[in-house]
Amino acid sequence: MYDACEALRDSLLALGAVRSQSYVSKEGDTFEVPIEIAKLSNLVVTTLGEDEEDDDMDLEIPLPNVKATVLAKVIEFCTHYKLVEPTTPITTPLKSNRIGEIVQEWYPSFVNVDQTLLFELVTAANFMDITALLDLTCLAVSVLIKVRRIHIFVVNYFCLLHIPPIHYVPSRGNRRKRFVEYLTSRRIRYLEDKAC
Amino acid sequence: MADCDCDESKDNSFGNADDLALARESMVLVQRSESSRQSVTIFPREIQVQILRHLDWKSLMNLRGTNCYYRGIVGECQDIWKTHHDGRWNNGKCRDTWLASRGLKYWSRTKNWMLHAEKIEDGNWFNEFLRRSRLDQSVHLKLLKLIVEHSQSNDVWYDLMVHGKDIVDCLKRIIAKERERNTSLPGRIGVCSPLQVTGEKVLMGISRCIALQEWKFLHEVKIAERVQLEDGAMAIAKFYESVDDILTHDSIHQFEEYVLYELERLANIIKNRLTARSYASVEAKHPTMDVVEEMKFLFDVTSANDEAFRGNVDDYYDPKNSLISQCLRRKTGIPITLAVIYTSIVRRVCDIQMDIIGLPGHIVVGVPFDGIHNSSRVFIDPFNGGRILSYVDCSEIVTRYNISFHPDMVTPISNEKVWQRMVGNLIHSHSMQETEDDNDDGFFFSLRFLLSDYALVITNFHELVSAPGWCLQPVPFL
Repeated sequence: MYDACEALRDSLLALGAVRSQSYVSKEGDTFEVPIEIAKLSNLVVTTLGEDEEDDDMDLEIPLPNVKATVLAKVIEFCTHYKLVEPTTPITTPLKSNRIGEIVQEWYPSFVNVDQTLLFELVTAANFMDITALLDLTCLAVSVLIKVRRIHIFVVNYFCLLHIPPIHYVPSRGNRRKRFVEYLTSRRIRYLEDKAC
Repeated sequence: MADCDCDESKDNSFGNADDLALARESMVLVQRSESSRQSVTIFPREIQVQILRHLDWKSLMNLRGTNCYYRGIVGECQDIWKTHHDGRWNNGKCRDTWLASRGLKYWSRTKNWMLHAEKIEDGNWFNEFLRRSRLDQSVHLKLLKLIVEHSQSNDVWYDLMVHGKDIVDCLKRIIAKERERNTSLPGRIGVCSPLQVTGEKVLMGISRCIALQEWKFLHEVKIAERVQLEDGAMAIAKFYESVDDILTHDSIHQFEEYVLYELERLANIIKNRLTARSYASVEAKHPTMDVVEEMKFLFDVTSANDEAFRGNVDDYYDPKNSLISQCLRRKTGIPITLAVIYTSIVRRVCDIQMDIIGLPGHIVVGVPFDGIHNSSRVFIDPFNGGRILSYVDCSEIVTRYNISFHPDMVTPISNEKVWQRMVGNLIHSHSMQETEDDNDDGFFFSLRFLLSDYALVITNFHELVSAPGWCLQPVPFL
C-alpha cells in the first residue's frame, strides 16, 4: 500500500501537477512533499502563512533537529494519512495493549520500530507539530510502558532520555534500592564475563 | 545507575530466573543506548504528560513508584486522575456534615457539597483517587468483620455507613462477584453466602440512610423555591429502591434522572400542543385554564394515547402506586401521586404552582385562588381523567364518604403534609397487602422513620440497621 502512495506522490511531483514543499533534514538532505500532504504539519501552515498562494516562492523549511531517516518516516506517515486513510480517533485511557485494536492495520506496523527511532519520531512530530503523528507515537510509547515491566522500561527510558543521575535515586522503599544494587552488580558480572 | 553504591556481597537473589533474564536484557539495552546517548533529546514535559494520558491507573502508579521525577509528574496530572476517578467510580460525589447531637450525618447541599466541589476542582484528584482506592481495599475486610463479630459490630457498621456513597461501587462489585460465584457452584442456586448477604444488607442500609438524610434535609430547608413537591416523592421512592435496582444501574438512585427527564418530556408535549393551538392570542380564557385543558391529553384515558395516566382502581393498594418513578413508568397510580405528577408538569409548562387539596379520602389539584368566594374556584381530579371540578363537586366527593363537608377542607396543604400522607398511604398499603416475599416482611415498620410524629429512638447505627425491615433479612446459608 505504501509503495502505491509513494508512487502516486512521486508521480504527482514529477508531473508538476501539485505544488511541493521542501524539507531540509539535519544532514542537509532535501525532501519534496506535495503541499497538501505537507500541510498536515502546523509548522508548514504557520510558516507559509499568507504567502501560500505565491507561486514564485520556493520556500525550504529547515529541520535541524530531524534526521533524514526520521524525516523519511514522517513523510511516509503523512502520505499514508492523507492519501489512504486517517487514523481513527484515539480515546484515553487505552482499552487494549495492542495498537492494532485501537487504530487501523497499517499504523501498528509503522510504529513497530526500535525505541530510538520511535522516540525520535515523537520529537520530530512535536517539532513539526503534526498532531496525528504525535498522538500515534505517544500511543506507541504508552503501550510500551503498559506491556513491559516498569523497571525494565524505566531503565531504557531514562537512559535514552538523558535524565541526570540524580533522578535515578529510587523514590522510596528498600525494595527499589536492593533492585538497583542487584542490577548494578549483575551488570558488572556480565561485563566481566563478556571480557573473558 | 552506576552512581549507586553497591556491595557485591549483598547480592541476594532477586526473584527467579525470569527476573535474571530480564535484568540482563535491561543491561544489554543500557549498553546499546549509551552509544546513541548523544543523539537523543529529552521529551518536553507536555509530551510526557500526553504519553501518561494513555495509561491506566495501575501503570501510572507503577511509574510513579520508580523515582522522584515521575513521582512528581504523575502526581501533578490532575485532569488525568479526574478521568480515572470518574471512570472507576460512578458514585460518591457527595459529602456529609457531622451532626454530633444526633449521631447521624446530615447532607447539606447548600454548604458542604459546594465546598467539597470547590476543593476537588482546585486539583486534588490524585489524593481523592488514592483515598478511594484505600477505602475500597478496606471494605472487604470490614464486611468479614461484620460477619464474624456480629454482636460487637456497631463500630464496623459506623465505619461502613459513614462513607455512604463512596463505597457503593465496591459493594456492588463484591455482591455481583458473590452472586456469580453462588450461581456457578452446583447445588448452591438460591442460596446466598454470608458475604453476599452482609454486603446486600450494608448496601441497602446505605441506600436507606441516604434517603433518610435527604428526607430530613427536605424538611429542614426553609427556602420554598429550592424544594419541590417531587423532591419529597423521590426521597420516598429512594427509600424503596431494592438491591437489585441498585445493582442494575450505574449509580445509586439513578431513577431520579429518569423521573426528572420524564417530567420534562411530558411538559414539552403540553408546551408543543399549546403552541400549536396558539391560544396566546385569545384573551377570553385564562392561561392557566389553557394548560389545564391541554393536561387532559395526559390524564384522560379516553383520549387513547400511550402517554395518558389513569387511576389504578383495580389494584388500589399496590405500594407501587405511591412511588413516583413507578407511576411514571406504569402510567397509573393513586390520587396523591398523580396529583404530584400533575402539579410538577404544570409548573414546568407555565411556572405556576398548583395547590394540592387534601379532601378526606381523596386528593385533587386546585388552581391558585386569591379571590373571596370559594364558589368560583376550579379544581382538577387527576385520578378521574383530569376532569375539572367545581367547589360543589368537591363537597359531593366528601359527602360520598359520609363526612360533612367544611370549607377548610379545600385549603391547600403544605408539601410536608403531602409527603406525610404519601408515607401513611404506603404503610397502609403494606398492611393491606398479603406479602409473599419474606424478605419484605416488616418493611413498613422501617417506613415509620419517615413519619414526623415517629419518635426516633435510634441512637446508633447498629440499632438503625437492626430495625425491623430496615435491611433484608438474611437467607439461611446452607
